[in-house]
Amino acid sequence: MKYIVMECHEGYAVLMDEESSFVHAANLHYEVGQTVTDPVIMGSEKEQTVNRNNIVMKRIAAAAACAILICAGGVHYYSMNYKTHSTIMISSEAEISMILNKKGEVISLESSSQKGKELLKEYNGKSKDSSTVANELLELEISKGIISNGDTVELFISTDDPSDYNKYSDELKKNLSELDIKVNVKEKSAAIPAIKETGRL
Amino acid sequence: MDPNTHQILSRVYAAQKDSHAADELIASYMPFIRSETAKFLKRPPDSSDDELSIAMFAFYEAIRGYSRLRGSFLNFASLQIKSRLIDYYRKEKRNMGQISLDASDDEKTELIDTIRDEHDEYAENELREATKQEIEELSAQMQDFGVSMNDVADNSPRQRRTLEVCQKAVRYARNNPELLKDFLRTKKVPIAKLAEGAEVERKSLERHRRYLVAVLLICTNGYEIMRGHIMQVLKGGEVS
Repeated sequence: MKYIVMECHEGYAVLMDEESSFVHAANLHYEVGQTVTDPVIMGSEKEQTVNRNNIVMKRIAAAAACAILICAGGVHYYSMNYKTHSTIMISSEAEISMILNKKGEVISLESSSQKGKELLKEYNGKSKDSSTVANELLELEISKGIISNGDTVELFISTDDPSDYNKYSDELKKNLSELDIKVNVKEKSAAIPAIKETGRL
Repeated sequence: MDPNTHQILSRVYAAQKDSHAADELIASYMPFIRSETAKFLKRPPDSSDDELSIAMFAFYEAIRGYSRLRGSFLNFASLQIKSRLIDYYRKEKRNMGQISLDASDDEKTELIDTIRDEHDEYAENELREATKQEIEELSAQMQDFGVSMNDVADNSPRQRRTLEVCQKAVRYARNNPELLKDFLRTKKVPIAKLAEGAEVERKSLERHRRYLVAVLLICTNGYEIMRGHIMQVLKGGEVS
């Protein structure tokens, strides 16, 4: 860009560029009427610094926004898939609890009894839905003789969401109806009956 | 506040409004400006040093940008000078890879002397002198409108969008010589007609009235060199 020197003062000069802008610039021994290039213009370098700072700030903001999105996504993914949302306990001698995520899939299986622990060495129901795992576990317990056909098994659901309780309860009753056992589904808050010596309820 | 501080401040505030007062303030604080430049250069500056010009310019910027909130004026000016000189050095450093035309292998021959001079120095001086005369005429004519070069520089659009709005209005005026005649006769910028004819916001033109005075005057007869300088704008093309 070329500039015409329009006016010279002790400490500065007034220049006109080819776009008809008038600017104050350092008077680097200029004379009126002279055409100059690359002058030191008032505020221009500061504006560049401000622009550079703005670019840096925008990048930081964009990175922060990405980080927040990733974190929020991560938290959502974690809460949907890995955070314990409900528990269903199969009240038999094996005493196996299914830990469920928000989607109703099994995160893990736990048991405090020896039989239950041995059973779980042979079975892994992770990522399967609760009624499938309950069905497969009860079949396994029947095959191992922990429970017998015609026995009554109680399932205790623990969840904060009443709609989830109803959903799990309906699914369990529906999917376990093919087994030759009687299934009672209850809320965990109800008193868990003591397991009889036979291991059957 | 002690009387000296009060005196400096009143001079600074006066200089913010009046370019002559600014020139006088710069002249009377030359020892301070030299001293600040010397601190940076680690030697007394010559009057031919660009650094001294940059420091004077920084002092002028300090005058214009000063307010009581910034503390002592001289401390503020000192920081401004230092920061400008650092910026200047950084800029120079970026250009260090380029060979100066003043560089020489021996003391007698500079590189610039080895290049065949295709410019006609006489013609260049003639052009400079003609441009100077045009500018003097323009300044005198601007005085009739109560506008100085400093006013124009202060009033010149800073935003690209506003500059384009003003340029559109100027192009419209140039294509309508009657409008320019009215402008010269009445000594008033025909803001309403320009806004309507160029289909631009009236407010934008009103805010840059003093700038428009200068550019519209350049569009009138008698300023061929300056018109040639901003020809791309007048034609509506892009400036590279």
